Amino acid sequence: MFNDLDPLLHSQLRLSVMSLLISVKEADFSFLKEKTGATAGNLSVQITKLAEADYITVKKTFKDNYPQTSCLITKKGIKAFEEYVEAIQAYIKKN
Amino acid sequence: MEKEEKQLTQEESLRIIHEMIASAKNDVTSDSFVFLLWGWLVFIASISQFILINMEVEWNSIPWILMPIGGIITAIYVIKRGKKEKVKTNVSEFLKYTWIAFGAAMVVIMFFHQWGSSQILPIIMTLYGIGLFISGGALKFTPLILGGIFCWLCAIAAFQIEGIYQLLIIATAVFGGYIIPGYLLQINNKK
Repeated sequence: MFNDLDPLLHSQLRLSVMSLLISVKEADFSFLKEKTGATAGNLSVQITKLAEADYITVKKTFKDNYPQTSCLITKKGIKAFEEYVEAIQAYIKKN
Repeated sequence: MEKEEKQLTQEESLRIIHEMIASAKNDVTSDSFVFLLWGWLVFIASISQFILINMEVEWNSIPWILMPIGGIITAIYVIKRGKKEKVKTNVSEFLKYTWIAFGAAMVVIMFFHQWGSSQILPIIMTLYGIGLFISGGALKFTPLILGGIFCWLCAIAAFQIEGIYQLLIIATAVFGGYIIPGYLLQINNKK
């Protein structure tokens, strides 16, 4: 029923991550984990998929000697998210 | 990976988007510590100087030594808090730049004005108003907006008065502009 929807976004966890990142400027891995309630392993896999598609940028830094991962949405990601929302809205209008 | 296998319906998609955006929005808060710190420091310094002037103490401006101390405490606090921060929102970034601009304007005025000018305190109160009004608007927190307006009213009053009574007006301005909204913000954040 959703053949025209972006398969990268049409997944619960990736859509959650993108929705969070569209709302904030930059978010830590721990913030995304807390808000989505996902396991670290699953979240890490989905973040990598989004990063590979250039929907998000992943920054790895060190804070007090601890590695830290923070994510930002890219312009491509914003466009894909907007198109996804429009596609869902169009589907709702049709029905 | 079970979650990934499940086909989302359009209602589920919309619910996820809505919930996550709402959840991220709730994180836009500003803690009250800095407002209360500066509110009380300026309140204590201005009232103390007023008392010292009335007691005819020569070094009556000594209470303002609290200002650089406040600056150091604020810098340490902001750096420590920044390290703990898990998320940067557009609002938090906007507020950061607003208060940096406020701090820069304060430094320019404090260090480069003509000494002996009686207009410095009302100008400072006008700046207080700008910072509070913008913060209140960005955080959608009315007491800060009203605090900003209150500071501007105090500035108008202070421009009419010469001399030491401006100290009482600035104490009133920070009480209404920083201290009361600061405590209300503290209560609001606990909810």
